[in-house]
Amino acid sequence: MRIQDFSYQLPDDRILFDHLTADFEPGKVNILLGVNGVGKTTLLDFIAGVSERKGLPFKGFPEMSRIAYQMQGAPFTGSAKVMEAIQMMVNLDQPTADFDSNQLPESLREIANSRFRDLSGGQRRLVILEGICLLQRDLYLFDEPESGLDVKVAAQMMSQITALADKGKTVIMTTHQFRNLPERNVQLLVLAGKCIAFTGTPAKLMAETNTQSLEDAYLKTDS
Amino acid sequence: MWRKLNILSRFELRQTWDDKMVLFYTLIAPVVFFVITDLSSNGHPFGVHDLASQLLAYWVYIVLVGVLNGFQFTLIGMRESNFLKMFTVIAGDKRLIFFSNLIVQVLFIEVEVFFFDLVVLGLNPASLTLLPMMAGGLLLNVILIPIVVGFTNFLLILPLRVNLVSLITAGYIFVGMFLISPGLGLAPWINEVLAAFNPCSYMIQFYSVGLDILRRVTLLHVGLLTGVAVFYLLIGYYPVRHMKLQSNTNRY
Repeated sequence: MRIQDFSYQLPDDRILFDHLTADFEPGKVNILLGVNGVGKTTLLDFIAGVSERKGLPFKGFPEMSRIAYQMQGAPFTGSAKVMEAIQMMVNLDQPTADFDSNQLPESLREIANSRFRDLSGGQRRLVILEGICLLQRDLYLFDEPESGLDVKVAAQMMSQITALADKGKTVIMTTHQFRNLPERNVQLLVLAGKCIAFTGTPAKLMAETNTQSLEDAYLKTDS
Repeated sequence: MWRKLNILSRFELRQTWDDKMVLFYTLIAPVVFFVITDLSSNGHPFGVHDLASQLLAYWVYIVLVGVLNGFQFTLIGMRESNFLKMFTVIAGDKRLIFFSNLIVQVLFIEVEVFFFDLVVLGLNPASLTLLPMMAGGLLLNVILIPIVVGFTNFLLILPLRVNLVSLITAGYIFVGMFLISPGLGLAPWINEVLAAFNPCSYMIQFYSVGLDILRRVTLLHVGLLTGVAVFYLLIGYYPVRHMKLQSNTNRY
């Protein structure tokens, strides 16, 4: 999956991407790093097809119906119940599937009959994340999946995301957290200076920057 | 495709039903207005002559406000909250969200018109003679509501915040209803021209022709209404295809 020589300007005329080229490895967790406002979500929108990518240099990405996209926020009305929301997501993905409460992920069983308005922000995000992981798609996009989750749940979610890659699915995720990042099947892409400044494994990034931690390596690359 | 539409429609029906406030402007407000008029006119709120045409004005109000409040605002709200974006990716097609919402709103508006008619029948025994017209009105609404949606779909491509859209539509409803006021005494040809621009004028003429209220339906009338309907169904579909999935007022 490749984006080649892609340039994009925001409505306020700021150039967000300038001849950006990025390669995402199939069957791996591709982690997109970058400071706030650098264009990570915009790039995910284009990859998902939410922003029209027809005629643009996006090669090898599946069509929208084969993509699962977890975006920031939990866009459900307050009256929706957790079980109903998950059921709808699964049924839209697999219309013939007979999804019942026994198939609900462990982390959601206690709140299965709660309405969104009665959940905390973190719980709402967890519902969406679990729902996305239940979909049978080829490409999974996660936009800051750990944001708003407690440390324990964030670690669980990250291992679920890694498990998707272990099953041969391609994952592209953005994050600002370095804790809990998957250790295998990982490729890092650092988005800086309107293009991809680094592509490779965490070990390669640390070696190239001569640093001992991923966080330091990232900070050095980004600056 | 149909299964997905069914799943989304059932979900949205539950959501809409849960939010009872939608009934305030489209059912409770016209009923309260009708009851007050009924009480203050000794049981003759429509006057003795214009029973049918006055009832049409209530229907026009319920349908227009139902389409704007229940349909257009819901879609705009979905877009601004990212629901449209996320569920378009899951469902694979944004038109599914649009049409499932349309199905739910047609159902809701029909229920509201039905209950309003029941109140009219209960408070005004003379209106019993209008039973066939009321039944016909409910049938016509199935065709009429999607046409009115076509008239108002331009709202989907305006880059405006929800509160500004609601302000604009309040004025739109006021002007639309004012133009069908019998007190204006507009010439018939002006009303026919207005039918091409004002959904309220269109609805009045559609009901009048469809229910043969004026007893002077002509082929020209039918052709004019059909032409306007086809135009708005085609034009109204354009904003659906070109409606942005992302918020119009925020970057994400």
